[in-house]
Amino acid sequence: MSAAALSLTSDAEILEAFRDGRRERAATAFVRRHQRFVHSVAMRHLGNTEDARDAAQDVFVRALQNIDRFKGDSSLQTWLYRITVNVCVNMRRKHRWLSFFAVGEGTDERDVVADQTGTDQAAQDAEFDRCFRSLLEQLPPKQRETFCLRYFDELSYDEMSAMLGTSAGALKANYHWAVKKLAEMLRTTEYYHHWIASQNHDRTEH
Amino acid sequence: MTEPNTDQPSRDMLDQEIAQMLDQDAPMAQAFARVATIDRRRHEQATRNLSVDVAAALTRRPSPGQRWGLRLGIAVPSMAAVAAVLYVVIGTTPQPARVGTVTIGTAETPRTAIVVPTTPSAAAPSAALASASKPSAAAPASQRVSADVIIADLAVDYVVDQLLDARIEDENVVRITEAEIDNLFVGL
Repeated sequence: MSAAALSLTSDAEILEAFRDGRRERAATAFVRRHQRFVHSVAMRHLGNTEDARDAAQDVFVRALQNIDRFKGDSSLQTWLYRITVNVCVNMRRKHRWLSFFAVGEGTDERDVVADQTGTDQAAQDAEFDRCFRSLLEQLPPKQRETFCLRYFDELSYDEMSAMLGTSAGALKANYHWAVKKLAEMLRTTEYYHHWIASQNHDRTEH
Repeated sequence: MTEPNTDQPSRDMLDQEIAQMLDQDAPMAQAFARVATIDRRRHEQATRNLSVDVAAALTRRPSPGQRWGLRLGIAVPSMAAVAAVLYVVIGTTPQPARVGTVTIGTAETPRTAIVVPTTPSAAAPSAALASASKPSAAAPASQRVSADVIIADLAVDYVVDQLLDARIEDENVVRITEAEIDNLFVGL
């Protein structure tokens, strides 16, 4: 990874670098700039980190092979979002097909979180993550996707609107209701009661 | 909980309401912050060195014909052989409607428009089928399936692969739907 690649900090600079023939630097910067977003979207569609990483690699290979045809009518992120969703739909189809003779389940992504750090804190994080994601699964798909794009991927409503083809106003309503429902569900979990108890304990001690 | 009509005014109030709720509920704010941290760490770990892997994949990515060969465990020398397999699967000669696009099925019941590189030769299908019938020595017995299954899988794989590449050209195109892909299975 070169320092020069890191100096390309915007999509405009990256595209200009591709046009100028600085392709290797541009490609590195392009992947680094968007890898978390692409992996995040792929994770939500595929459910485990290993498949999501494979999908992300496929997305970037396809995108880089076609980058010269990118006209700029949409943002690079919107373009990548569409490629990612299509690649993931195809991967899920393949999984359905291959599941006829699959020998075992893949590693669960929540276990990966715990495995890679191997501490008590990591185990607790993994457990909480599992709980939170099970709550997310209870949201309607549109609210879930809106929440994840807004909260985890930190997209603006205008960016989401371009990706999802839904008005910014409707997305705001989706996000609002997603947060409220998640909060309501979280209040029923043992985590919340544990935190409340800890807070009260701290107050008493002080 | 009753959800509002999405035409409801004062939407900016919605974000403020959420911010206020989190301000007033420290454990809830803590929960949301914690899951964001976990999520960020997961993606950072999973994408470490991704740019290096992508660069390597770009340089070694085999041609479509080679990709089929790798999956089959046989040498697939050209795209003509790939098209030959499609010929076997579809059971009819694809008729090019325009470059890269064909319509399969009969005039009365046309099926999904797909993309193939070339019209297969008359002799190629049987050769391709015979090659595909040989199981890969490396494949464990539990994963060996009939040539028909492999060929049907790979044919759809190839078609979807082509669809994906074709769609990349159009930034404003709608996404490929599950139903659209499932339609490719019709008659296979």
